Amino acid sequence: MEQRLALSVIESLRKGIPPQRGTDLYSVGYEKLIEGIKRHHLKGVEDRGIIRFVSGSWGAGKTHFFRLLRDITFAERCLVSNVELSVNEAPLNKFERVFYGIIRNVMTPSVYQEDNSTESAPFGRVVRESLIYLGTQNSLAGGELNHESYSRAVQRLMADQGIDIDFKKMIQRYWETYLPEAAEAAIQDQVRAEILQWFSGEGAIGAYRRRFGVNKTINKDNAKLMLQSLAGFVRLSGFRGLVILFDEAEQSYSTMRKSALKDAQNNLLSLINNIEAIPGLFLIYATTPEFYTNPKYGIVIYGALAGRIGKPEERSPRALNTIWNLDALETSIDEYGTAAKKIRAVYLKAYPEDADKIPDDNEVEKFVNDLFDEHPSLSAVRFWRVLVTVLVAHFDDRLEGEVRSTKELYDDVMDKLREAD
Amino acid sequence: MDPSQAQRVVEDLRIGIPPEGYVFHFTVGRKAEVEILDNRLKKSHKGALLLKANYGSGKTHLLRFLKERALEEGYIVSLVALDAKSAVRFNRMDQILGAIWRGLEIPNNNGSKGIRPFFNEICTKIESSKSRRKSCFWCDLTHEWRWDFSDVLEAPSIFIGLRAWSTGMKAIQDIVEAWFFEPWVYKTQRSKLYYQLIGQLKNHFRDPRYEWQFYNDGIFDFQIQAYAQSWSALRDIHKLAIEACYRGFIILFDEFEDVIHNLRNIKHQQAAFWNLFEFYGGKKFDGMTYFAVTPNFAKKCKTLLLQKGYWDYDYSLFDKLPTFEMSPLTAEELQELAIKIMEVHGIAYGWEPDLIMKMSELKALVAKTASVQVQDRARQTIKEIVKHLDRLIEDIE
Repeated sequence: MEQRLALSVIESLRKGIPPQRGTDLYSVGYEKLIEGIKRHHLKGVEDRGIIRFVSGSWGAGKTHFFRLLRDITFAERCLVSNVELSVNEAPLNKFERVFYGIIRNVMTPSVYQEDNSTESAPFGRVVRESLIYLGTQNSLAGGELNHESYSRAVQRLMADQGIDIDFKKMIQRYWETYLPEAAEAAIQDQVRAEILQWFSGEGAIGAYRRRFGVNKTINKDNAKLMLQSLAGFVRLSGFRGLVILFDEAEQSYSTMRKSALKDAQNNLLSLINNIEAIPGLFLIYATTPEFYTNPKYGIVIYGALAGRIGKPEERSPRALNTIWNLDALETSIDEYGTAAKKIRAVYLKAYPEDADKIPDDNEVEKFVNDLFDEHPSLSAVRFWRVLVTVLVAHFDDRLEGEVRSTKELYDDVMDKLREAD
Repeated sequence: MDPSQAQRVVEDLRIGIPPEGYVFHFTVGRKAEVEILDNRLKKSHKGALLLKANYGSGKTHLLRFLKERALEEGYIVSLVALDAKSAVRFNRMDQILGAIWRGLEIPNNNGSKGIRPFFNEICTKIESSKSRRKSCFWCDLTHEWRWDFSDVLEAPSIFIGLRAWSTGMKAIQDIVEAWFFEPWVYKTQRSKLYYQLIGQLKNHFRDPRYEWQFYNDGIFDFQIQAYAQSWSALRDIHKLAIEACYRGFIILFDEFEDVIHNLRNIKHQQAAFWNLFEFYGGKKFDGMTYFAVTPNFAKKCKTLLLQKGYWDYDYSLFDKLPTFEMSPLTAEELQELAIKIMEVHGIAYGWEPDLIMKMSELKALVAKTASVQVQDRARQTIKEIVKHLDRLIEDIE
């Protein structure tokens, strides 16, 4: 498993992109921020709702940071949902679609540990783990699912007054599919799929009324209240909180119509104003600096929103800041050197049989210094991205017995990165 | 205030919103205004009031302050934030009623919201009055405990819901809650409501009406006759509150300019304005209501109507709206507020900020931020103070 992970990390770095897992193996510079997030936000996350904003230019490391965050939040027994706020998936002006995106992308720590990112029904896993937790006297290790445990779980679910009644009904019906006398597996899978469709906003209300006894679907009218129910359900189920990582990956706000942009901003304002009423919810919204300052579509055009969020500061981000400005995160040459050594260590785990061919730490340090000198300080491509890509290419060369100068490697990789962009 | 609570308070201040449950603690200055509002509460002044302040200058703070003070004075209160995109549209009184139910709070109930605390209290009053063996409101309400009909309440739905609630059956109470929270959802579910709240409860009471009469009379419909039953329900809440020994019912509306910005259909906007005038008229709801708006609200409304070509509207109605304008906080008041924030920050993170930040430094910070001429000067000053304290503590960690 360790070698497999290492290979995956190296393969991603070879392409100049952050890996799905293992970002902590080579990260540098985030230590204070991460430690502060643990101390000030994740500790006691179940007691309050929190919202933070991430600002970062292209290549500043937003994706990397989000994956780092995901790892630490899983370690803190929180659920994580990584939602891309794009026109196609989850536009912020249509909050019901945002909610659907949260449901589709939510993941439990156990699913993450199993390296099961292709889980077809991640929310279904949440519901199942909830049944185990609530029905077997808080033992997450699991136990026999029987009528007694089912009844215990249902009783606790129904006693929670903060969860919408239809939300509870659907959860209960999902749990029923695990009872010993439930119908054959194929039918139960179908029932589960139908129930999960309700949470994802699919299907017609008539069918759900007849089959499951609910009175509404999740729609624009109730999506925000349903988010509150979801957070309550997560806490009830033994998790410490729900961390939602919103990634404005496509700068969707810049292409919205004026009315849609206004709706999106209003939805964001509503989230900010009401976050305190949703304990256990930790929202992190990542976007580019233009979101804050652009005079045409930035939040500066909406005083109430700008007044609450503010503007990114040109200082190293700290956990208590409202906006974590990754562009202001300064990485020293020594830190780059440390990162390079970490990458070397990962590479050795990936290719242990070729350890003797890989440069030692001193050589790596020299290589980093040479590379740093080669890279223009005002380049549009971040040095970090150059570093990880060139370094892996350098190790690959050594592995294959090829010799290229630092400059040759640099030029080759820069060409590839420009093409990729 | 324990550290966890203090952290929650600081988090609210950090993003510029009034801390729920601790607004009074952070209310500084404005003594004359506070006294006026307090007097309105003490005298149970009826009618509605526009609370004017620029954004970031304390509208939401004032509403939350009023909520806390009203609860202390013995009122039941509901704070509603209008949101046209989330079924809280001011042209739809059924949606407003649902939001009111969801936000309902009663005194001495630890901030718990919703219908349950209120209806539970009402049922307690009903039960306790049974032993008195004399005529009373509760006797009339329940028709001497038979629950077969009542002419005490105006909204038949409230009677039906309360009657069902009084059975104490949790499943039934859940249905009542769901119905009242989202009455428009159940508009097409009347047969289900009939069965669940009347038909299957015949062992608890005997309603003499036939099923078809419920449908014919629109008993389950909060939208009929220009939302007549929604308005009736508000009056019934007020009446029940008073009979239950509360001082009355107060509704607070935040984000009221949602009406202008987010109700994009002019007909809906006109309906919303009319509802506003109804609240001010005091006939359709005889409790107190407060609306948070910016100083130019009336002008904005008139401009909106003119832009849409409504020349024959009675614009004087906007000018007649009673208003209450908040004065800006002075530098001295902001200074006082800064000290309170510093104290709470110390509790939240277990440190002593006054040992790190000298008072002169705090004063200079307040003076600097307060001197910036922006509408939301108060909010920005608060945020800046918290930000500065955050930096200090993170630097020493």
